Amino acid sequence: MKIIRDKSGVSYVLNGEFDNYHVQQVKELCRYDIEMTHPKIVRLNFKQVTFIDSTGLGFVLARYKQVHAYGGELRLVDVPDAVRKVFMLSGVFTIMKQENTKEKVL
Amino acid sequence: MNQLKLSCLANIENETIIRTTLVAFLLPLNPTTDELMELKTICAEAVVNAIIHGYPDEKGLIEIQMSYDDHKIVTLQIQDYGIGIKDIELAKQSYYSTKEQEEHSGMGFTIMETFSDQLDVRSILHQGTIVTLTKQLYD
Repeated sequence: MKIIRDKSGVSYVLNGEFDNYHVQQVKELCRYDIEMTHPKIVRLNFKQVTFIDSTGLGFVLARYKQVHAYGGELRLVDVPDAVRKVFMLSGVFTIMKQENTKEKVL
Repeated sequence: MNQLKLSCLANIENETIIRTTLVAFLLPLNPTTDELMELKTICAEAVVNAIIHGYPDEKGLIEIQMSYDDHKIVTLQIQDYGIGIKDIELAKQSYYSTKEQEEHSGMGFTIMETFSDQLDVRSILHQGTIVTLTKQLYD
């Protein structure tokens, strides 16, 4: 997981197969980082994620609750189709905003 | 048709191995990206359940059998010898989780039901659980 900070908040760039094992690896760091910094906008970037299961979904819902509790906003960025199908089952898109980063054309 | 059996200790690291093996196993069927993603996900859900819910304390064995027939019907069977499920209907409910404080979504069975054609759960308390999933692949 890569952490990118800017004026608006923070982005957690996730990658690979976001399965149970992977979630356990990043969960604590992510939760702690948000708790310490209370960013106004927290972005979870899924661009490089190739797989997600219900544990990953649980992670997203837990971060939403955490960020929402202090008045912040959680956004889902560049969600690939494989991840979208799992998210659709839980209705996360009805409570969370989506963003797509534009590819810069040179 | 083909069949493969795996047996391993209920360690969460093994879930990745099982899922990766399933992908290789299904390769001759030439599944679509969606079919592969759905089968990987239902496999992960059933195996993770067996590992973390079947064996909350001492880690036992889990056994996975994957097979397909000549009509491209894929069957996954995941068995554990753990604590069993007290109330299967309750466990199947969306957003129900016995581990909510550990950030589990309670969506495992919902995902299994949605991405498979058939889901069968048999469980005996303190003896274990067998989850059988079937899914038809198309050309």
